[in-house]
Amino acid sequence: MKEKQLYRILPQRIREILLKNEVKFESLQEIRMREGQPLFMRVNGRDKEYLHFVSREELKETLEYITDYSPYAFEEELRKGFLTIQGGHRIGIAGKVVMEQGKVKNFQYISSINIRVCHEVKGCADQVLPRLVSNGKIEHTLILSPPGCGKTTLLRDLVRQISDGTTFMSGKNVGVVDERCEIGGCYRGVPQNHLGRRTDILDGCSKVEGMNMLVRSMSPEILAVDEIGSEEDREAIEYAIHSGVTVIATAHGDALEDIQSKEFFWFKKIVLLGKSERAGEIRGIFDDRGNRIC
Amino acid sequence: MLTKVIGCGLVVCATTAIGMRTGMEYKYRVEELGRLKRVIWHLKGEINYSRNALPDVCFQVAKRVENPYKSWLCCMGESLEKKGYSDLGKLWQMETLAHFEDTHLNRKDVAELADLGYQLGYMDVVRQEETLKWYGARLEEIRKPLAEKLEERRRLCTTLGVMSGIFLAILLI
Repeated sequence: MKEKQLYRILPQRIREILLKNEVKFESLQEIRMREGQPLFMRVNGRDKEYLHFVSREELKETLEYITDYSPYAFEEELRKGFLTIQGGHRIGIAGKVVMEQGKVKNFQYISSINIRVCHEVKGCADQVLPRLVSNGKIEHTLILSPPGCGKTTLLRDLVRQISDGTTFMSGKNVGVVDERCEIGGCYRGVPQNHLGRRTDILDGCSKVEGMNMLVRSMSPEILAVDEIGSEEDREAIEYAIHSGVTVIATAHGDALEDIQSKEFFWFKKIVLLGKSERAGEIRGIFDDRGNRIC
Repeated sequence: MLTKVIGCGLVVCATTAIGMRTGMEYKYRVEELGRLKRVIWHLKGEINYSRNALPDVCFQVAKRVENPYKSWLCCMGESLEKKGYSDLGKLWQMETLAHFEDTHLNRKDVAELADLGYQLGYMDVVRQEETLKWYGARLEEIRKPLAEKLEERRRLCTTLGVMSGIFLAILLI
């Protein structure tokens, strides 16, 4: 299904290249189209260059398909430079922007499109989740890694398992604040990724506002949020924690030292990810004192 | 003689029926233009209120209108979702021409509706509203004088039918 949804937005010629080169959907991570430049695809973590020069018409055609021939309906998303399509695939765009009062108003020309293919890795949290539970309760957890190491993928699977329940834990109400539409990959407000039966999602909402809204209105037992870092994020997390909600969050960082300066002291478990061998590799799970649990 | 009288009577009846039918066609076109104007008004409202993409807008409006507009909008929504053409104008034109061949709208009306797709989609919501508003006004511009002269035209068609029948009957006699 996700495969069809992806192919539908590609120009005919690029679809043919995918088929001709037998690029498997499971291993396809990114498609990069830049005007006048060769087509690039990231397959199994490696960039591959194809002998096809992307034309302006192909970019225009892709944009028409991405927006269902209705760029007006995606004004806000285009202003932010990305949008999510059916299947949860994320499209990033770049080019010449039109500024108004110091803010991006729109794109005058689009010269690059980057399609990040959405893959759910169900079960990737199997080894992690049992270690986040203490006395039958999930502890406040921070997933830490550099970009592209699978933080969001791990968070997504944790949300799914916590929401649906596992053999050692019954399902819980989970609230997700998905500011960049990456966790649920929502399309028209409906998550395209399986986030579990007891999950409420606020899509495209700012983290701070979303966390406060969910705590007040949906009474989640667990609150999941992606890529925290600012002072406001910390205040919103503190509010959620004081309201009795368990927080699972992700942040950018390469080592435990990276978060010490950011005062993330309330997280009881820290999951450190890397990609020396493969994306999503668990480098370690630590407690709040920095002691390695596994 | 009797045969001639019967023949003349039949000729007058036939031409009168043709005249009346022409008058009715005229009335149907006015009604159809009014219906189309309402559909355009629905499209404009849906875009303004929901800010949805065109396939959704088509499906939503299709629920509130009758055929041929219902089937036209459903097929349009499906085609847009299938993404068969690289530009909206072409796709809109194909679907419109396929659905309005046998309606009371005349060729020019259908051609104008088919061309509307080239103005839709791009730019912002305000532009979509303005385009549909303009087209609605254009329909009203066509419909209003037709509606005002409707009774007059119908009478004229019927009279012309009767008169041409009598004229033919005199020629036959």
